[in-house]
Amino acid sequence: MMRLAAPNLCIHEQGKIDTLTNSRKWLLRGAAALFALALLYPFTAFLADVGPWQWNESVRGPALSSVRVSLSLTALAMLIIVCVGTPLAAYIARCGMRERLIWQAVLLLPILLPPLALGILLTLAFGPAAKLGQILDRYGLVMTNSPLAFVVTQVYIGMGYFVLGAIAAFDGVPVMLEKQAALLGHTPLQVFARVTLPLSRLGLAVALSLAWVRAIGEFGAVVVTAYYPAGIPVQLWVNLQSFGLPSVMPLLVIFLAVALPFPWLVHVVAQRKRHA
Amino acid sequence: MLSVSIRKQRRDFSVSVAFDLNPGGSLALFGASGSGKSTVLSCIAGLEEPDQGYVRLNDVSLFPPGLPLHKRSIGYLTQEPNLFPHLSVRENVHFGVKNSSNGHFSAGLAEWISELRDRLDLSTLWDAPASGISGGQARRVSLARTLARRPSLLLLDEPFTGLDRQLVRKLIDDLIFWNQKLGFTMIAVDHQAEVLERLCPQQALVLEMGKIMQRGSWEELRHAPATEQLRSLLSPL
Amino acid sequence: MAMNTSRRSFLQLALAASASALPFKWAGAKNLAPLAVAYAGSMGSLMEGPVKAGVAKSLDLDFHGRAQGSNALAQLIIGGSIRPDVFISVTPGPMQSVLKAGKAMAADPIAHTEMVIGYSPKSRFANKFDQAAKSPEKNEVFQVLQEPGLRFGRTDPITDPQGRNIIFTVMLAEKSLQKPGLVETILGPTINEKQIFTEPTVMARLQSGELDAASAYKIQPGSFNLPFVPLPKAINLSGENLQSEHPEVKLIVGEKSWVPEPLIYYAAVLRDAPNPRGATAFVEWLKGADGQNILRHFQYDAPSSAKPLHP
Repeated sequence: MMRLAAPNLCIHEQGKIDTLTNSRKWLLRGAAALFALALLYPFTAFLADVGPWQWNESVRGPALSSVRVSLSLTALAMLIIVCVGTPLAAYIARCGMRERLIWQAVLLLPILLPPLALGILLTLAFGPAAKLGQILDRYGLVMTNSPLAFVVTQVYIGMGYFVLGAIAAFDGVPVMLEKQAALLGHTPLQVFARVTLPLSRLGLAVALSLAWVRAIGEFGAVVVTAYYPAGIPVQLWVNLQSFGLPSVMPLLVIFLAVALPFPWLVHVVAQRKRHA
Repeated sequence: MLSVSIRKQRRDFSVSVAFDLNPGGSLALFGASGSGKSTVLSCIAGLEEPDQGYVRLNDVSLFPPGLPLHKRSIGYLTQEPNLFPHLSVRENVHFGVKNSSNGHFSAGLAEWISELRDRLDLSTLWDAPASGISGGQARRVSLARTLARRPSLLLLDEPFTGLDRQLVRKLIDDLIFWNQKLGFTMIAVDHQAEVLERLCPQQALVLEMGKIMQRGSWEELRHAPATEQLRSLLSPL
Repeated sequence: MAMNTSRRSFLQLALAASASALPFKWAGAKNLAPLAVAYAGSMGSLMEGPVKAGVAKSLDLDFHGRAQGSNALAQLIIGGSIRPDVFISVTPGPMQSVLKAGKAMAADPIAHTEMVIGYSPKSRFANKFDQAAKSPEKNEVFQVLQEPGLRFGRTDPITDPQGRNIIFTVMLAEKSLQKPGLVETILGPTINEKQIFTEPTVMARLQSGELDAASAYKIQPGSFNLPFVPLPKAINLSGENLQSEHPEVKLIVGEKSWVPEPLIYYAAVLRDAPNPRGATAFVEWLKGADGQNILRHFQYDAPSSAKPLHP
């Protein structure tokens, strides 16, 4: 098109236009690569000299146990977050502006707290000092140093991230599509299932992976509410104090290996289904 | 029978219209851009609620109180085809119709959908994803989807804008054909007079600043336009 | 128009506020060389209060403290993750690891403490603890600790010396009171998930009433406004010859075997200290009259005959 429009441009100048665009492209790629390097730089510390990594009997057992704890209990927390958070987000997405503002504050409060503070508030509110804590205690529900405490903490940590992301995902579905679906005989629940959910899949996936990433690495709150059973972050802390850095590194590698696949997979599946 | 008498406040003026339409009849709503035509349709469809008044379709009160959208037997077509992008053309067309328990449509329904598909030339597109077809094709799919349900009332809000003349002519003829065959009531809104003249020649309402300025057939409108604006809208470019 | 004016005035206000914050920072750093001290978590109120003030006045040093469990700090220092000027730990263990790793040349004792039982004034057993506190030699506290439904708290024996020390204390009580099974009754298994909490939260849980009683060093409950029951000299780990007097008192935790260690606070100047002169001056000050006065005020006892540590 350009060549036709500017016939007096000599070949030489036309060539320059092309290389400019190319070099700009490579500039952008270079900048992006630099950014990636900067972001991944801390991981070069794995090559630091801390002495030979320790992975003997005394380290291995608790480490693998902490992996099991983290994976299973965080997965359970995610399940709860999705089951409770999705309909809640659907409701909020349909609210008027004023109610939405209130909801945003409500959802932000727990996740704004420094994790240590959240842990302390949770132990106070669910512990024997509080009425609810006493009731739970009577029914044999242990709210400190138990799997229940672990999961509850993670739900409080992750819920806000998921719901806020899910609301944005539902907002991205055009209202007219939902109204057309309704005029085509679908109840609000059916519209949600057949139109809203499928179209917000990617956004929901991102929201869930954020909640997962946040929860599985959570230390500050969990170390207060659920020192047992030890998940990976608490175990890293224990390893550091008992054996030092050589025992921290291998568990760190394992953590990355087990924590990364889920959110990554979630993105892959969501992307694929989008173009189905 | 469709009975409408509504009032809705817009920013600069209030829309205030009342009319009745016999079953199977077709009505044109004509007026300049921003005269409130779309508001009337969206109030009837239930996308908005009137401030006052009533809307009744075949002894069912659509308003007040506002009947939920999914209970209304209304088809609503606009300029935007609003197809479901995650579904194929076929799934879009089938969206509003229920299949029986074994997953197949009743014979009559299957035949009707085939007729829609063939007459609107959707066979080659049938299994294509709805997100991958052209604008003109999408509007045909949208029409098929809306009619597959055999609604009692069809509302058309400038659905032909931007389509080529040949396609518009064909779609109008298809609509007239099906209107006679199925007997649905139809209201069409447009700011192009010739489209409405062909589609709903017998009855037309002219809107100006939300009020009905004239009622009648297109012949009457052309012969004796009630307002200066109407005369201007009807005269050649 | 109105919008622009209010936005401008807001920006001006914000700029003025942040500009006014700067002078304070500068004033703090003027004339005072920084001194980075990593100390055992239980010393917080002492270090960040009068020690910081005293060090600024007498030594012209700007005290930058960092509180954490002695074990954690030792590991971070050994691994090179942190490089403070001075390390203060409780019990010889963590300090010896640091010395062995060559991160310090020697460590001086600066104070010592003993084990007590802290309790919550909100506890329904508070009255009984009050009674027991009046005459510690009678060891009534161990009766109270056996009350059904009493919630007792302690720290992780795997990572925290105090977590092991409370077990030793009750072992010694079991021995001196001739009550076999006392450890099992009061503490349960070594790792008891109902009793073990992370160190900084144990005192806080006493304050909230979530725990009725907890293990503590004598210097801890005071800064939290919590009462405590002192323990007789024979069992409160204040003696220096525990291992020779009670050779059978041993604890196996996490495949390591532990014996009671004297509850002595050691301070060491670290080898790669950024401010070595300040570090030495500080440790001397701690050992001198000024430092010891402050320590006494906070219920820290004198190091008496404890000896310095060498690698």
